[in-house]
Amino acid sequence: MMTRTTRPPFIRKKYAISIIITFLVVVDSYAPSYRWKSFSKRSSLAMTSTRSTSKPGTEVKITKSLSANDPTYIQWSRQKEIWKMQTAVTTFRKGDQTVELHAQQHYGDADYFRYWNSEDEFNNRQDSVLFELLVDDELLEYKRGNWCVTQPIMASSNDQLFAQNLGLQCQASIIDYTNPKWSHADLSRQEFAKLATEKNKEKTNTGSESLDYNNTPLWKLASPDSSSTAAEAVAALMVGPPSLNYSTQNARKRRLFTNLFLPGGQLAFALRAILWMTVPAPELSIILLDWSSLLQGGSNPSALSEVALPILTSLVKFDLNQMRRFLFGQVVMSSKSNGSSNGKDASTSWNLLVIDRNDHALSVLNRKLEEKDVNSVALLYGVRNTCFISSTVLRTNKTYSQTLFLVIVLYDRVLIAPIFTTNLLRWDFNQRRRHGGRHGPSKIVLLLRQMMKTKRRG
Amino acid sequence: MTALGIFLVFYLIIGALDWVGIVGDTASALFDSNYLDASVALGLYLVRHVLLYLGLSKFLIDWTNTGR
Repeated sequence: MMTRTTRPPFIRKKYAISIIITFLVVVDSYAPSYRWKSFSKRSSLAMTSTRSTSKPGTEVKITKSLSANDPTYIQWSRQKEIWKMQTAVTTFRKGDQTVELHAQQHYGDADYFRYWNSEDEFNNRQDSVLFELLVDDELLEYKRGNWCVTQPIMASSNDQLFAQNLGLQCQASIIDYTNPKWSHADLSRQEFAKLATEKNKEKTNTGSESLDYNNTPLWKLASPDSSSTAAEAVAALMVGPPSLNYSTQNARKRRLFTNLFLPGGQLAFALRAILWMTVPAPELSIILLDWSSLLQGGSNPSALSEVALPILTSLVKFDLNQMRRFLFGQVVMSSKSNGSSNGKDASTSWNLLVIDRNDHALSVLNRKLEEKDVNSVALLYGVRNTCFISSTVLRTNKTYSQTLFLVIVLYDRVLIAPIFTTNLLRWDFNQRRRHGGRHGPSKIVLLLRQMMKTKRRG
Repeated sequence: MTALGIFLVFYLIIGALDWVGIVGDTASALFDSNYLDASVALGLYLVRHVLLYLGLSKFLIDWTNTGR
């Protein structure tokens, strides 16, 4: 005997409540945000564009309006279905002297790094090349007033494995740092560890750090209190997206229903707590709530990551390698501005990783520019450091002329249907092989045959 | 876009089934006074959805960029 089952009324009520809340949040975030929109004035310097290419490692000049306060040293670039991640080469001129600031990313396509090995394209244009690299003292030698790397170096096995998993190469494995024109303009590993020890002792006031300074990675030395996945999960559950820092005085303010004179922050937290358990797929509702209350999503749809769609497309296609590369790129792009750019609330790790190293690089650069017969110097530094170095160089009245962009990673052209079908057929083939192929043609093959027959008849 | 739409529909269907399942399991466990089972089920539900939130919020939204 068939019985008709009905959904419990409280479930229907919860669906209705969640839809109403979502609707209200969207309406509230969109309606008042127009009034609150701010128009910031920025002094920008225009640049010109000439040509473009899709080959990694080659130069791409693009039209770009670059602000001295908020420069772009790494960016996504898209030409139809092809995505590229690019770093900038910025040229400063003062009289006869030229300084090229090369923003570098530590993982990329091999051709990206080979650009700096090429004599014609790069080395022959420079009188001297200064570079960033945290290496052991043993690998450095003092020659003609400069610290130079004397032996070829390789990336650590962990870095190589990480790069290999992404289908990329490590900077240290490809670039030839033993070129006679090249000089070291960074702290050595030992100097860095010493500074980290001092700063961590100052911070804790105890001196009882239990870190093993020989075997701990340098980034961990710089920030021993860096967040773990568990801490991020707790922050996500209780407060909001873990990539935002909630502990500083300049924490992002939440705004929700504020045009109704309601306490936006508390209301948003209460709604978050309720939504976790009362709606299906709560992560989507909570992301929408956070987006609306933190970023005023209605007026700022560009807050959606540029590569959100390609990431989802890769996921739908089961192209997991491509997706991982996009995710890696997104992490790199989002971390470029996570540090304290104004220096007012700079953390110890930020000071050590960026500011102290920048000071060192700039002192080496100034010394180099004072030498006779040195008119063109290239400074190769990490993306996070280059914006600070750039602003300091700009302050010394050097005129700013041009930015080229080098391609770090070239993402494949993607077409959804063929790859999806191929993966499906591959999965079907593997399934059948597991069963020894005893069950005759699979359902997918039969379906395809049927479709082809119908097409022929048509 | 069509594939993405289909993916989103599947995602929402799985989310809905998961939620209905957890509500049913928790309610039946609570009616049986089996509080430990109910808490474990709720905890695991929260863990998997917090992890999904972490993944989505990290990779789909640029929280640091408010004025591009």
